[in-house]
Amino acid sequence: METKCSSTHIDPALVAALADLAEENELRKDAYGNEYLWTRLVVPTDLPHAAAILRAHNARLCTVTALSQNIFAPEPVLCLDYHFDVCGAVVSLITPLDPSENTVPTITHLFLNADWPERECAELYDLHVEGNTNPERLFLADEIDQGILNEVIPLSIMMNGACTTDMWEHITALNLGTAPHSVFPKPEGPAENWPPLVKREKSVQASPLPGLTDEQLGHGEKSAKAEKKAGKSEKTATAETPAPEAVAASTEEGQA
Amino acid sequence: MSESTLTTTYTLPIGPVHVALEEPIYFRLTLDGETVRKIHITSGHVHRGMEGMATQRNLFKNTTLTERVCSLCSNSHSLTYCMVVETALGMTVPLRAQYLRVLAEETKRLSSHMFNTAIFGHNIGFTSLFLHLMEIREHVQDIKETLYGNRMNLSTNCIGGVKVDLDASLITYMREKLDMVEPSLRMALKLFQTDAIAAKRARNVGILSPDKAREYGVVGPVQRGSGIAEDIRRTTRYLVYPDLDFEVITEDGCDVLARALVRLREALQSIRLARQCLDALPAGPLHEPLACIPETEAVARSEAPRGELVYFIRTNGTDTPARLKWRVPSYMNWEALTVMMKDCQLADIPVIVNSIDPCVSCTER
Repeated sequence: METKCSSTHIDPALVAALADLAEENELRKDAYGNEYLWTRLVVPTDLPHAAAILRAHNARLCTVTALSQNIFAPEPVLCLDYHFDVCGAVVSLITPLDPSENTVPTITHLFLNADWPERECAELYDLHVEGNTNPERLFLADEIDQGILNEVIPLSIMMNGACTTDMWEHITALNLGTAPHSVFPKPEGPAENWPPLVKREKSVQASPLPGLTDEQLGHGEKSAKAEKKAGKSEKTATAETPAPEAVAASTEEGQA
Repeated sequence: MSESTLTTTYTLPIGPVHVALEEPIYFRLTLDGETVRKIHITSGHVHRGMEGMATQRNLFKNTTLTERVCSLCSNSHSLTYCMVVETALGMTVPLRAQYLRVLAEETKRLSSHMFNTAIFGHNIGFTSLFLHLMEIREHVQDIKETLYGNRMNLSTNCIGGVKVDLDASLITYMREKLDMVEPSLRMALKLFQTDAIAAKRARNVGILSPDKAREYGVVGPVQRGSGIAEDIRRTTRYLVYPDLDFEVITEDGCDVLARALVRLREALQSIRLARQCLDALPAGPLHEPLACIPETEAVARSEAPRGELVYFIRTNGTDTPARLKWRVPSYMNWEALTVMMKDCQLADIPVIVNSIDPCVSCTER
């Protein structure tokens, strides 16, 4: 079909055809005079019909946007916006979704390049794209649940480093033996009598906690090597391994 | 190895980390001897959740965030992001700022295209070509560093205009640099058009017919290398592109060589556009103040070095966007690799992958 579209003028026939399927049909312009048509469909099952109309006008699918109230909450997607280029103008099909079904029909039979956007929406927002013949994962690994990025921890918070003090407190608890999976036995007596944590200095090897063997600390292999080395050169070994008093003094300085 | 073993079909994994790949992506190839029969692409290794991060920052901070989606087309991201905010808020950018934005865009395009064609030389073992193109590109890097203070992220775009102005001495400096780049670039273009080694490795390799290009919705030099004359700078009105004189470059070869030639010829067009901007740069303010933020949604597009870049925003009346979504050019071009690489030789894979100028960082966001 010949279309009379340009970036500044969307074919009235196209606007009228989409209006028949639309709950709302709004034309807007930007500061440069480009026209944008925003068409809100009534039901998601109208999507293939609307896409077929656009294909007849030589449209090209640009992208698909999933919209929800809060993208970090495990809640259903409200709608999918399909953005098309029609000879320079942009037509956006706003497709509302039924939260109980969270299903949208595929348009890959009309626009082959809808495959990646559909698969991305499916796995990141836990949607079901009905009829997509290539439902393999795009970004997430197969063993990860769909939509999991909204459920575990917002990646943005992780990337910001804004993970509170929980992680460090957990490590501290592990070192003190208060955490459930600690490799260290819990020191006896009241907490104020527990040995202080040892600060690791570059020039000094970490001092073992009192009463713990190298095997318990996982240093057994290193220790054996050190002994072997010490056998070869007692003088060298003494220089590299500071006396326990020196380690303790260094630790106290570090804590101070 | 016996002949029967060589002709057996087998699966070869390439990536996610591999010497032939600049960024992590995983290809599972089905090969018949040395011939590729089937390609399966798995992505997601550098997904950073940037769209989610954008909804936790205000509109100003997102200019900085979006400029870091990608390094080679960083300016296009901040530009298109600013354009989509300006569209949503109904703002008009001053004319001087529009010229300066075009200048920054074309400088980045020039640099990006030269980098990609240089990498082509590297991929085919034509080291002197790689070094020559990178040496020419260094002049463009000098332009960026001198005009904007950075070699990659120019940080010139802001909502409502630009932050970096040019005085007479900087304009003269850029003119001189462009005069140095152009003859060298023309020489490189001639080399690509005539050199037997380049032709041997790039002609009739990675074929993407115009029909397939339309079917897969590819964009940018990949699309124009298949003979389709579509360029957002021409099909859509934005900035001062409608007032500038330039040619939408196409090549009919539909192969790796055609895509490389499109980029080199487009680089020359970028020089042409930059000179027009320097000649016609009007006086006036650099930016407009921020308008009131309504509850609305908007779309903006630009022609980034790799093709059409789309930004969508939904605002909720606050200074933090309710949703910011972008679709990068590489996102549309990846799937076309399954067509380009089908029945190609294993050794051609790096050349074909490079011909779409892929950006994993962009794709996964």
